[in-house]
Amino acid sequence: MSSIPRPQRWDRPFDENMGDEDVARLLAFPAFADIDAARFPDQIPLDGIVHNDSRLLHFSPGEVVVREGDYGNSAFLVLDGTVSVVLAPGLPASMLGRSSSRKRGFASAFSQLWRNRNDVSEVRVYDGRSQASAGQGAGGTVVDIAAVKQSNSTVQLGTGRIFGEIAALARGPRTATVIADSSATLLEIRWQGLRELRRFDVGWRERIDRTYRANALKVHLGEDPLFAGLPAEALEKVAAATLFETYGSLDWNVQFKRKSGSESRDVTPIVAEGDYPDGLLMIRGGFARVTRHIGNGERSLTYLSAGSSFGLDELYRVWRGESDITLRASIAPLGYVDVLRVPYYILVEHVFPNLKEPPQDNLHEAYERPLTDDSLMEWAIDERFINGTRTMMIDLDRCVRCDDCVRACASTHGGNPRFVRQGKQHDHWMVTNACMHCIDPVCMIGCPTGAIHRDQATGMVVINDETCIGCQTCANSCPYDNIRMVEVRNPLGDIIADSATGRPIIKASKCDFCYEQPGGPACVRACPHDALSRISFAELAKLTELR
Amino acid sequence: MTLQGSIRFALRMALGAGAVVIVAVVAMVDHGQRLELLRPELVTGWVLLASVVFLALLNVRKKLSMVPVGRASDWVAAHVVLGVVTIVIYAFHARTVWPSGYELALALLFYAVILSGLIGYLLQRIAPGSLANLGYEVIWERIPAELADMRERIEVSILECARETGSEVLPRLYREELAWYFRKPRFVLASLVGTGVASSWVHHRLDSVSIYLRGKEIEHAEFLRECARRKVHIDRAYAIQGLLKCWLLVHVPATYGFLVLVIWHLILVHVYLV
Repeated sequence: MSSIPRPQRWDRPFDENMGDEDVARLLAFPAFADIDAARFPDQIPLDGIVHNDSRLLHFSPGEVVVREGDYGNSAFLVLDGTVSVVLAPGLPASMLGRSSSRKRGFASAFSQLWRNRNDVSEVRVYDGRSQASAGQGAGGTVVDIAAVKQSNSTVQLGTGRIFGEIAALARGPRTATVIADSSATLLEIRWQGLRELRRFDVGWRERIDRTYRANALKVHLGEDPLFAGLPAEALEKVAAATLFETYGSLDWNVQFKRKSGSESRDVTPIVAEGDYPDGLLMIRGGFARVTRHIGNGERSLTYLSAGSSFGLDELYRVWRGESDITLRASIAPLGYVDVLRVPYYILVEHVFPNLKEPPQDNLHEAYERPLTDDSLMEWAIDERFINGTRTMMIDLDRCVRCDDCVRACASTHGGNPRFVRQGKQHDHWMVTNACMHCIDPVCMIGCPTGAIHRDQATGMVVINDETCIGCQTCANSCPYDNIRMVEVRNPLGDIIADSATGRPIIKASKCDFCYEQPGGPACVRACPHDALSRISFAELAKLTELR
Repeated sequence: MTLQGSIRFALRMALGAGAVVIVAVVAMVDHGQRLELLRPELVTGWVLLASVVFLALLNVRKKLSMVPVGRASDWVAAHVVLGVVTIVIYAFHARTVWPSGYELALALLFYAVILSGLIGYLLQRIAPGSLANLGYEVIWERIPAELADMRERIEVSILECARETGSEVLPRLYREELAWYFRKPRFVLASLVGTGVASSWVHHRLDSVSIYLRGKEIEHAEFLRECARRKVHIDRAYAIQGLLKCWLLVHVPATYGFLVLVIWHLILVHVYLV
């Protein structure tokens, strides 16, 4: 047995060069000076957060700080200088020099044939390599700031302003590109630190939430086809009148794990069937179930996710002069959902007169479907599989249980498969216990070190083994039990143990969608009968096609 | 259909067309050479060897999951199509169903490969549906652990029954008869066919002693029945999954045996006949 000290949070600070003087200077900065440090627990002190969960970054004029579309788990505080946020439609990808994930070459992939250890599982060599940080600057890309400002709408942010909180809090991609206007010094706070600041300081919580709401609203409205063509002035009016509502809790997974699927239906609807419509409901994040009363129950007609909206058809009919128009379905949050409510009078003023065709009525079509056609969707909604973007579905009518998929997974991950060919079943479909790379990866919520993060380029949820401290928070948070904790061994096959307690060191392990492998996920390529596919439930029709 | 789906459909069509072309060319060459009193066996033999080597490469593909060498399902489709083509080429080459001498061994191995392949193909089409309809999914390697777990729970129940009631009926029934049934998968052939023999066997035994059971004992007997119902599913899963693995135990070794004899055949042909 070999031993190493048990990894701890803050073993590897976000910035190795952050010194005590830097911390003292930062704590004197207005954004931190007002914080009551006594409110922070002893094990997570304020200076500890600043010291370990943040880092100082310096940018030259024109340097890209964050790129739209990249996944990041951190927010930025402007300490000195100014930065510009490029508003929609944003910069072309070629100008941003997009990062690509580090794919293996063919030879490197092939060499796994003899490098894999089939005799010893979960071999690790910890030689002190530096950690891959949760969120980094955009890699030194420089653009002509004057040209950008000439061809795009931008918003300038100065000292004391926070940005990047949308991606950090919503666990999603960056919604805008940010470029340094002048020489700028920024404090990047990884999301674990941001979470603690929000948690223990009311001022930061209100400030972050306020910025988050204001920025999210504008970004979302600007991207929606209904409002995209509006002049800036009108868009400002729409934004000012729009209500930002949140239902449920961001850490919905805790409650979901305690309840069964059918119990999770007992929630108060946001709007109910038969209500008079008062505004368009646009989903900004999370999920909502659209149901209609049938018999003694509620039938799910569909579900709404980011980018969907509800009630436009009814509101349009009211505008056309039809009388006694009520909502034909209810919508209820699934876990949590961010909703933008655009009032009727705003639509009358800015949207309906510009509509060339009446809105499509998809609900009627959904209601007319045979009852049993919806069972797969009902199941997927109840089990929250709709959260997955790369859900591993196995068609049991085709699967010969050869386990070639599991072997392929092992052969691309050092001899250790990252999933188990078992899971929940509906009819002849099985959703296996493989990471689904969720739209809302709640596994990231509690990670104290940021070891579990989204790959910047691909958006895959991956684990940095070197910074994983084996706390099991991600495994416990995953509502689908798709993360396993494994005991790690040295190349001789000995269990690596904590030098202090002698207990085995454990690490989190899960599917990484072969994001480093050439050719994509090995499990899909290895299935000899096309029984296995990685799908998003948004593409339910694709399942039928796969049959 | 998606673009990817269309490409794959086109690929499958191309495979079929390619197979027809190969057979047609081989038939033409064979016919032409025979007219010219040449030895078409040499051509058909080498084509046959190339086909068999390509067919055997499927096993290599399975070991190379880490590199992008095409989807396994496309390889399997090519394997099946070329397998059928190989039968036709073999017929051109051998010109007899039952050769003599060592060639008989060669032919028998070829037939074993073809027959096991056909059986395997059919099994892979039929068996997955039967497994899915069981409504009980278990990983083959975990079946012993599942049974051990079930046995442990049954034995705890039996001991509890003896402690609570002081009756020897269920413990004796378990020791004398049911322990055998729960030890490992039983009635494998019957499970495969789905005759319900296993279910009847257990329930008959439980029914036989039911007249001696009272109160709590009936609850424990009901638990045994429940376990027996689950065991029937496990046995059936074991039988079907076993069958899905068994045919490969003939197909793969017979292929390698065939290839070894083919090399011997090549040496003999080129040393003594050509």
